[in-house]
Amino acid sequence: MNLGKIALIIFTLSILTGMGSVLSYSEELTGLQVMQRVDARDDGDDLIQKIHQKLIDKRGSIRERNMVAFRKDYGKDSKSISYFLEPANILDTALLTWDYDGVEKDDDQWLYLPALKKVRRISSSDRGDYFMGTDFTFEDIKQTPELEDYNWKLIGSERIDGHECWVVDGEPRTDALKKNLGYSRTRGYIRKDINMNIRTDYWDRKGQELKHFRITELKQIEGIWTATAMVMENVQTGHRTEMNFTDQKYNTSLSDHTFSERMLKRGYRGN
Amino acid sequence: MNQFTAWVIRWPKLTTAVIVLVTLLLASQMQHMTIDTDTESFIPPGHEATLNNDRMKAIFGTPDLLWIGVIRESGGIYQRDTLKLIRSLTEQIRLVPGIVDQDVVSLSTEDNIYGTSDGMEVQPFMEDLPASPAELKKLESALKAFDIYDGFIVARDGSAAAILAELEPQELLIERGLDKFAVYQAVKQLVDKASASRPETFHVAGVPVAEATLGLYIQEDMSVMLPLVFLVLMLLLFFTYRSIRGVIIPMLVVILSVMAALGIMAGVGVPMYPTGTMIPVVLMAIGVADAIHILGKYYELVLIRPDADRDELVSETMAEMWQPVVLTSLTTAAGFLSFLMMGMVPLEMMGLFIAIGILYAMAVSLTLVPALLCLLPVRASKKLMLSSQESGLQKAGVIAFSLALVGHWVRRHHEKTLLMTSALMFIAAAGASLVYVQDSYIANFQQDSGIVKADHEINRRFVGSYQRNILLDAGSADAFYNPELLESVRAFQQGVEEVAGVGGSISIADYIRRMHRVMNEDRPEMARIPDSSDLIAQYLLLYSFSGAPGDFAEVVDSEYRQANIRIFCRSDNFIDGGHIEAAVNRLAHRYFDPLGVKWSIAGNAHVGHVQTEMITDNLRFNIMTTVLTIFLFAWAMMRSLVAGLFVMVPVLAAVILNFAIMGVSGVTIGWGSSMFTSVAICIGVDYAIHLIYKVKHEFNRLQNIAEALPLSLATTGKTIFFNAVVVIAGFMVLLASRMPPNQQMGLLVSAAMLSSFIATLTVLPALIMTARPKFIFRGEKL
Repeated sequence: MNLGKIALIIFTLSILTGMGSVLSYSEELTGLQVMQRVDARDDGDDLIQKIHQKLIDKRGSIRERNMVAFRKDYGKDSKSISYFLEPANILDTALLTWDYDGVEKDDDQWLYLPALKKVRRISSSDRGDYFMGTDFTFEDIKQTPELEDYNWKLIGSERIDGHECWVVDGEPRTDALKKNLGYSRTRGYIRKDINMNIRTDYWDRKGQELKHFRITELKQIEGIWTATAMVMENVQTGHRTEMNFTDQKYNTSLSDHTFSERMLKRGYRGN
Repeated sequence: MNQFTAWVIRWPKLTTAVIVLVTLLLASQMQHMTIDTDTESFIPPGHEATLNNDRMKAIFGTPDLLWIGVIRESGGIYQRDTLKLIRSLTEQIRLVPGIVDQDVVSLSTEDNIYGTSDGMEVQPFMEDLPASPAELKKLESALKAFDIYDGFIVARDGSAAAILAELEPQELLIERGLDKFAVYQAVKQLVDKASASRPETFHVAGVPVAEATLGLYIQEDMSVMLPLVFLVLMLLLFFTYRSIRGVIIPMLVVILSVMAALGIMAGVGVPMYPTGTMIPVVLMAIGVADAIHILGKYYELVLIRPDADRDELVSETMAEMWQPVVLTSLTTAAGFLSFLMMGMVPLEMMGLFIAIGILYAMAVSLTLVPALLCLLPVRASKKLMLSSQESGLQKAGVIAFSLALVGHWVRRHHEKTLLMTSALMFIAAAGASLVYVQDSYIANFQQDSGIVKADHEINRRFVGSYQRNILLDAGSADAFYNPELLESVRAFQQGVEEVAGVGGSISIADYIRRMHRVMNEDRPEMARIPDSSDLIAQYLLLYSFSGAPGDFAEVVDSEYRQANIRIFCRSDNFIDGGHIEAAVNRLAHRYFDPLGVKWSIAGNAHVGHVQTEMITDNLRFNIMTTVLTIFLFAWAMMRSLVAGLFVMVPVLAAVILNFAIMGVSGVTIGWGSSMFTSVAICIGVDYAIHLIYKVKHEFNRLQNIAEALPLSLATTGKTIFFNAVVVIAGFMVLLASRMPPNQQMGLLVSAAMLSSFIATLTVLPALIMTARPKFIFRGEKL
């Protein structure tokens, strides 16, 4: 065999290998890529909306709260303020939150109690702690989870209510994280057309199914896809939380002053 | 009947085959047997206590807590290594299948609520393990200052810490293929592993432990002890009759009737309750009696006429014995059927299936026994035969001779006998008056067993593992934001906590007091209910930012309409329980009625108390119905009012003696022992019926009471004596059991037999001689 032949064979192999990798291009994103899309989805720079919260226990007894909430993004961080309108015994109670990206810095929270006429700082909470007696934890209530805390895995695609969805499993990276979050596994369904997570199932640390999150109503408001109704149900306790969102106003250029302690005490004046 | 016997004698093999086949058919149903050891099954469904308990479980969760006590005598638990161990053990227990993860409570799960300059902090007592002495001190004082947890998850003296684990509801456990005992075992295993080479001592207690273990141990113990009783019975029968037949025949009656009774029970779908262990026990005592009496008569005839034709002897035996056998069986069965009026399913079913077993034993005695007597060869001791023929039955053996002497003596001194018996009854009455109602689940275990020790240690160091719950329903949502109502709850708790045996209590009021205090610079005097309901609502909202949604789920419902006051009691004994229940009722009327708040009592300690109360309250009614049923039956069957009364007299004497034995030996009336009085009545009545029949029979024949009475005692009396000795000795074996309830059963069955025996052989003849009733002396020639 001469050198020319060897060169020909090597060349053929290189072409085949090259074409092989061309033809085996990925048809799918990775789990992490899907979640990055979710994270990057446009949800406005700021938002004002009314929130109706319904806590329903397994016997069907209902507790309701009405709030008005303001949110403004500061890069990856965000600030929000919520005023309680109902029930009457917590009217004018208000919550101010400064939410920092990443896990290095704890979020800051203050609550104004009108009966005491004092602002109280709320201690930083575990991400797995439940938020205001709802079935959402502090982690769930954020728009997207901290991506670097999970191993994401794309399971496949599924059609949910007529929409193609990616199915992505998330497993907290460490046992400490699992304990902190209260989950051993999550499974999210992300609509491919709008990069929005419309349902998530959660499993507890024993591997038993724990909660179901569902977006039950979805609308485009001012060009931004907005969940207007959602429900989180704890399948173990039968307790569930329904949230309805109305009167959305995006990008009204809220001033920084809106998220101050002074505004917290002043209360909601219907603007 | 005689024709029937004749048929049996003609076809003994066929009869035997039919009976054995039918019994095996019934016994094959036993594979469908289910077991129900739930203590709540004693309370009729729909009873208030069960309804309240179900309601509590539905709204506030189950109060069935496992208590794991970690005790460190030297230096207390506020040491880094002990705290570390508590934390890791807590984490392991949370992951045990059957344990509700989020409802495990310990130093490492619970949050401290405390005040800071700018707010309220709700943070774990142990975010990180305290390292320095100062941090350890800080943790100790934090717990000391939080009155809900002081005494609850740590001992007030700092010597111990508790891990409390809630079990999943029974239905869910079954669904997962688990039971309380399995969960307890799993937890115990973790605890044992953790305790290896540690300075701490560990205990696991709580109602689920006692409940799960008791049912299992009683059955385990019984499955060892009952065969032993059986063996002793057989040995004694052998020494009595000196023949295999004397063993086989009575034992077959017992075995076949037990198999039939349990087979029918399983076949109709009635589960095995804890009282079910009584079925073989009672059938042993009674089944033996039927066979022994037939055998006794048969031997009596053999002794007189050793050369007679075997079939003829059997026929004659049955001709004389079928009536007393039928009569005793029917009366005893009727007595047990009177249990059907008790209103407690496990006791009703016990009575019903004992009655069925007795009737089956009767059927077997009337068919299989004569058939076997025909099939098996006659053999009697030559010596006995000789002496019987020379000097009559009264001298056939020492026992017969002695009993005949007793008969002679009683005949001559019948008034004296009655007077002496009266004296005995007065003394017995004094003994019987010592009997009182007392019961406790934990008392069912041996005093030195691990379970009793654990119960003792945990209830000594903590608030108490037995819960009573006061369920409050204020009628409208948000009612428990109302300061006035919360103040009443507080006052009620203060009152209850003063009662002896109550270790502490927890309610929503305690949490609100705590919040008010920490929001006011942690000043101890501010640990009270605030005056404004808005402030209370806002505190709770503030709390909800760092607490879990279920933090108050055990003390208040989500609407704040219903609340649960958890009262922790240190023991489940009936007498202390009675005082606590009375105080709870009194205080609830005082504090909640004026506010129009509806209240009810629930909790495992309450359910246990109600159950014992029902059983013991029922005891009087039960004794009276049993006595009356048997009396009416005996009256009807013997067609004589006086005969009915005569049958009852020795039994009543026996009951008095039985109570006296209970009183003197310190056996209290509890759910175990309360059945025995009626059982004693039912068993004892047989002896009297047999003796009355015999005396009547012999008097008719001899027309001379002076001869008839000693002869009856020497023959039937001897049989009764054998019967009593065999059964008493057999059941004395149970005294060696490691389970106190089974020991009690041994003592009480023996006592019942002994007292019935004595009363029948002394009081009854004396009574007959003194009153000379027509039903015996009808044909007397003057």
